[in-house]
This record gives sequence, structure tokens and C-alpha cells, in this order.
Amino acid sequence: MRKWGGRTKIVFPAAIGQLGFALAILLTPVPAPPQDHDVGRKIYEAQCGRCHGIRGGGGTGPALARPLLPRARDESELIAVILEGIPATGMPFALLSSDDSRQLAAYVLSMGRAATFTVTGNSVAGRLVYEAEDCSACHIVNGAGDGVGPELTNVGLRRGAEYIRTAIAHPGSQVPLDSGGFAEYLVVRAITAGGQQFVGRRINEDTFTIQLRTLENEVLSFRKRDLRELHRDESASLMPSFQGLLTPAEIEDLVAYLMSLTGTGP
Amino acid sequence: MKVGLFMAILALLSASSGDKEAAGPPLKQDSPSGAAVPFSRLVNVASEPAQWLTYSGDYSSHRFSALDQINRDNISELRVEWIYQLRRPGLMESTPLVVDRVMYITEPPSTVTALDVRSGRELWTWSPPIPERVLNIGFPPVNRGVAMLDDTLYVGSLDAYLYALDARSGALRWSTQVADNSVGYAITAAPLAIDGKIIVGISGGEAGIRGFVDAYDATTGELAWRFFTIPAPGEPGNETWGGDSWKTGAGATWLTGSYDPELNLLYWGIGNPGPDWNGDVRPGDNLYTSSLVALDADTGKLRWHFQFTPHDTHDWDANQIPVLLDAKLEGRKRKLVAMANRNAFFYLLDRETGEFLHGTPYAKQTWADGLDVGGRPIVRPNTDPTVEGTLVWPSLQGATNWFSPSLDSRSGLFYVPVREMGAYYYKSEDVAYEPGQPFMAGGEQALRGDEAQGWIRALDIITGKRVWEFRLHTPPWAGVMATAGGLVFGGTNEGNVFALDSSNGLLLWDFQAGGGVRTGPISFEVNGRQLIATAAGNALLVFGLPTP
Repeated sequence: MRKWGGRTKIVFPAAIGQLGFALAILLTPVPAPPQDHDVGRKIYEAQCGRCHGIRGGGGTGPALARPLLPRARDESELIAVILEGIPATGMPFALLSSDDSRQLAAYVLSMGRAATFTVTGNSVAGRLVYEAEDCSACHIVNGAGDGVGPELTNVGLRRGAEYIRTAIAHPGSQVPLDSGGFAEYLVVRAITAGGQQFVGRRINEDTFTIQLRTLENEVLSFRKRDLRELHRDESASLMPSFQGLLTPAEIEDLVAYLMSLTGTGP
Repeated sequence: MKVGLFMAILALLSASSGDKEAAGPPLKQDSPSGAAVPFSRLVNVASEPAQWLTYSGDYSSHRFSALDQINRDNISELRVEWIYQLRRPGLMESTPLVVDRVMYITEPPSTVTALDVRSGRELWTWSPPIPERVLNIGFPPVNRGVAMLDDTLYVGSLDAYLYALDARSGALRWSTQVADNSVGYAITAAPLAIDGKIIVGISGGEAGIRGFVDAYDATTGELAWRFFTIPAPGEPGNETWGGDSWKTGAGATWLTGSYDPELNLLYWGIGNPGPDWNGDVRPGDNLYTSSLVALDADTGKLRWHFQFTPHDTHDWDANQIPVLLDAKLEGRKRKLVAMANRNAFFYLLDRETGEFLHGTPYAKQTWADGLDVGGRPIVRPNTDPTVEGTLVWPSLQGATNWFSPSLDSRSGLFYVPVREMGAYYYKSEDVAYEPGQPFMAGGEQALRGDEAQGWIRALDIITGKRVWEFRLHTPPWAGVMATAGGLVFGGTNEGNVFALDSSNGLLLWDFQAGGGVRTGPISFEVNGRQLIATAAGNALLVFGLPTP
């Protein structure tokens, strides 16, 4: 059974201070004959697309086009889920030959994989940028920091370099979606009946309540009927832009550092 | 008599027990051997608002409670009375029956449980033997409820058997195989009990089955008649299927229909044609898929049909509740049937003839320019699924789905849970049929999250005009129930159970139950107290006002 490549490997220079080397890292599946990929795709579209979205974006079932699948952390786990289903959920088992189930698993894993990316900065220097900019005021890495914004312990696994680069320069421009299709870290401005204004990012929401986390790392919980106004700003972020504050080289170093964070996360 | 002695002892015990509960009469049975639901009780549910005797509350499927003890003035005090937690975690889509102080629920996949409504305690439970490799293609392993006739309960199993149980003990009376699960047939719908017969619909619309509605003798379990939803060669309607495509035409019948005892007609919704998203291989209107049919209850013969979505390529089943009502139109008393259809149109038909009276959208839809004078949709070009994907509202799950709407016939307001969500529809050229395998040829990518919305909409039942609407965070999977107390009860995916003022949609009460609501509420009365029941997550919750 072939194992698809699923992890990036970045080789660091031994000495601190070495700058400006370029790494081109290709992350592609172990090459397969074209028809194999087609087999997986056809099975997916026939049996899986109705619930998981024809392009893996989710629907009544969760999205599959993401780098980490919580219930299937590698190909063999994914094949098990396909062949056994998930009891008590809408995920049935599939009647597939072991060959077909492998092709299907390979196709599903390919949907979540970043294609290619380039990292040109120095990750050691990038760590110094991270500390100088006090990123840990809002982010946790390997247990250190405050969790106002996303945890970055394994961000190098979950996001590509381009995504991270953009997030540093234009934080509000990319909207990661949770498994329910909702914008994560959505900025919300709530004005109470008494005229008080609160700003935070949405943690959770239902028809009657909304929960926010502020920059001060406090949780606010509102009943919507107690609010005079509730504004959702889809293009905003609580994170400031670092485009003017850092040089392009510093940004590249920071990207390299963040891409090196592949630690064990959930 | 034994019963008399027993009652005397009971009276003595309760008199001396010092029970702190409000002293009520001892629980006496209406008949010496327990509760029974003869056909006459089902026809006359209006005289017994304390019970919930059939899936939709009554044969006209109004899902309305005439109880008004809980009302706009006291709803804010509603609180949980008791909770029953499912034996196995799963999706709870069941509507309970309440018959003379016993509640009958079904639990996923096909278990029946009887509960004492005063205490919430289990009286008995029964599960059919279901193979581990049971097929449920295109839907989760759920069951939506039982039917009761005389002293027998009827339930369909996921592997397409019909079981008859003694209502008092849960013992099996008889069973019969309705269809072959190995080719994709299943049963999730609650059966419908009429005089001497049990009506059963089947699932399997995504497996290329040939759909049907069955009627079984309630006593013997023998098949009384079968109405195939896909006509065979020589039968009228077969000409609407090109070539042999009728053989895998689907047309599942997976939601409990309605019944008019005077006309003796059954009204049943029929599902999508197969394969769902590639209509090229089944040219024609594909009768009677995505239609409502009226069947003679004695023979199963088709009286009339109305097709909502001819040659459907969006999986827009017509498995929604057909709501029966009588009203005066242009000075003349008419017998009508209304349906808020999955395709986003609300329809009003004459239920004696099937005549289309009018239709209007009740939710965002981008696939039709309206309906012509006969009710046929004027389909917009470029709204069919394509290989590259075509954006259409509503999504395949429709502007509403199987979950119950509710009609308050006194006000004429029809309450519909609405899913306003678009999707990219994809067509696959892979259309090979294999028995027991999905036969769908495509799929969708829904616009979810912040781009989708849910609503409770109140429509004028005659005109379909929107009177008010209440926004939900996400497109719902829960039904609603209106009551004479001026309330509309509903639920959300995020675990909210709520009550709105039925006249204007204002929120009056809500409760966070901690698990998504995927069924509709009911109401009943025990010892003079009105109670509300709904499932949420893996639990069945019963709510009531505090005792005075």
C-alpha cells in the first residue's frame, strides 16, 4: 500500500544568522497513474458528493477539503472510516473493494492538500520577529502566549505559506471557515440597549445568543434581544496589519518561522 | 372484580402515603385492559385535544394543538418537566404519540419505547433485528414515529420491514417484509393507520428503486394493495420516461401523508426521480416523481396527481406534508390541499380533483419565472446541474423539507420552517446503475454558514402571502406546531427550543437544550396539565408550567 506524503519537511541551516537561502518545497502526492485519481474522483462524486459537497466543501456532512481531518489523520484511518462508516451519524459505510477504497481515500486526501509553496525567509530570524512584535499577546505557540486569536502551534501544517503571508499583511481579507461553513474570527460589534459598544470576534452564535472574545481575552455573552445593534464585519480582523510595520524581509522570515510550526496539535 | 379491588387498594395507599404531589385521582385506565385507538378516535381527534394520536396530530396534518392552558400570558414560565435520553446516540427525528398517559416514541434506528408521561419512566422497549450492514443510501438511520390502531402499534424498520406490536407490552404481534433493503429500500416514515389498514411509505430515492405506497391489513399484515409511483409500460404515465429509465425511476414515498375519511382519499408526496442530477438519461416529465397523488384508500388506485417539478434535476422531492383544509373560495365551499414544496413554491390545490388553484414562492428561488395557469413551472434556462456547477436557489435540501409545518385553521395562518440556501449543482456523466449502490449522478456544494438563513414564515393559507417571518441562525431541520394558546413552537440546529407569538412572530420564550432539534413538537395533557414535548440532541424533553 502506497503512503501518500502528508507532511512538509523544512531543513534549517545549522547556524543562526544565515539568511536568504531559498527553498522550494514541492508537496505532491506520490505519483499515481492518472486513471487511479479518476477512479477515486468518480467514486467520490457518485457516493460522497451529495453530503460532503462535490468539491469537498461540505454540506449536510463536514467539509473534506481541508488539510487535517479530525477522524482520519492518515490514509489508513480514512480508509477505515470509508469502509466502516461512523455509527450514529449520517456517515454510512461504503461497499467498496479495497483497491477502490484506497483510490477514494487518496482522492479525498488530495482535496485537502496545498499544491506547492515557496518559503524564502529564515525561520530562526522569524522567531525573533515574532517575539519583537509581541505576537504572543494574541497567539499561543507550544503552550506559550494568550489565545485571543488562532493557536499557531501547528499552523505550518494547517495553512500554506501564501495564506500566512496574506494573513500578516491583510488580516481581514481571508476568512477561514469552520466545519459548519461559518467564518471563524468574524469581527462583531455589539451595541447594547443602554448604548455600550463592545467589539470582539465571534466564538459562537445561535438564533438568540452570541458569544464574543475581546482583544483583552475576555468572553462576552449576549442575548440578541438585549442588543440594539449587532454588526458583523466580514472584511475586518482584530489582528492589525503588519505590512507597514515590518520590512518585506522580516515578513518572509516570519512566514518561514510560522511554516516551521508543525508541532503536535489536536 | 380484580380491577375494583385493585383500585380500592390503590385509593387506600394514596390516601395514607403523605405524597407531597397535588392529590389527583389515581391513574385509572379508560378501559379495564388499557388504552386503545379505534379508527373512530382517529377520525374524531378534535374532541380529544389532550391526546396526540397520529403523526401529524390529525388526518388533515395540521400539527395544531387545541390546548390553550399554555398561552401568551404564561409561556415565560415554561420549564422542563422531565427528560428521556435515548438508548443509543443518534439523530432523533421522531414525533411521539401520546395515548391515554402513555407516550410512544421511536429511537434511531428503529426502536420503539413506551414512556409513562407522568414520570418519564420507561414502560417497555422493543427493537427489531437489523443487520449491521443495513443500507441507508442518501439519508441517516432515523425513524420518524409509530402509528396506532386499536391496541396495536405499527413501525417500519430501516431494513424495510413492517412490525406490529402489542401497545401495552411491546410484544410482537406480526411482521412482514415490505421491500428488499439490499437494493436500497428502507423505511423511516411513520406509518398511517386508517380503518383496518396500515399505510406505509418507503425510502430509497437515491438508490434507483421503483417507489410505491403500500397498504397492509392491520390485523393480519397481509398486503392489501400497492401503488407503484413509477408506471410500468402500458400504464398511464410510463410514456413520460424515455426508454427503460422508469425501471430505476425512484419516486420514494418517505413521508407520512394525509387522509380525508369522507372522500376516502389518501394524499401522499412522491420523491425525486433517479438518477437525481442527470436528467439526460430519463427524458420526459418522469411521472409521478416530485408530485402529490390522491389514492383511493380502499384500492390504492390513483384518483389524481399533480406534479410540482416535472423532470426534476435538483432532488426536489415532494415529500412534504400535504395539509388538508376546507375554505370558501369565491363564495363557494371548496375542499383544498396546500403544500409548501421543496422547490420553494407554495401550492393550493383542490383535493377532490387535483385542480391547481394557485402557487407562489415562499422563499428565494432562482430556477423558475413562476408557474403557468396549470401550475407547471416556467423553468429558467441554465438552471440545470452542469459538470462545472450551476448556482441555484434553493439547494437540494429545498426551501423546506420533511419536517412539519403547522396550520392554525382559525386564523388561516400557515407556519413553515424555511431553509434559504443556494447551492452549486453538479452533474456527473457516471450514470451506471448498480443495485444497492447510490444512483445519483452528481451532487451539490451548498453555500453554508453566514450565507445561508433559516426562517419561520407565516403564510396566509389561501393566498400564500407572507404575513410575518422570524429569522433563524441556520436553515432548520425542525418542524413547528401552532397552538390555540396563540403560540408557535419550534427548534433550531443549535439546540434552541422556542415559542413565538403566532399572530406576529415575536419571541416569547426560548430554551437551550444543548443538541440540535431535528423533529417537530407535540402537545398533550396529563391530569389537567398541558405539556409540550420535543426531541433535541439525544434526548426527548417535556416542558410544562410550574404546578400551582
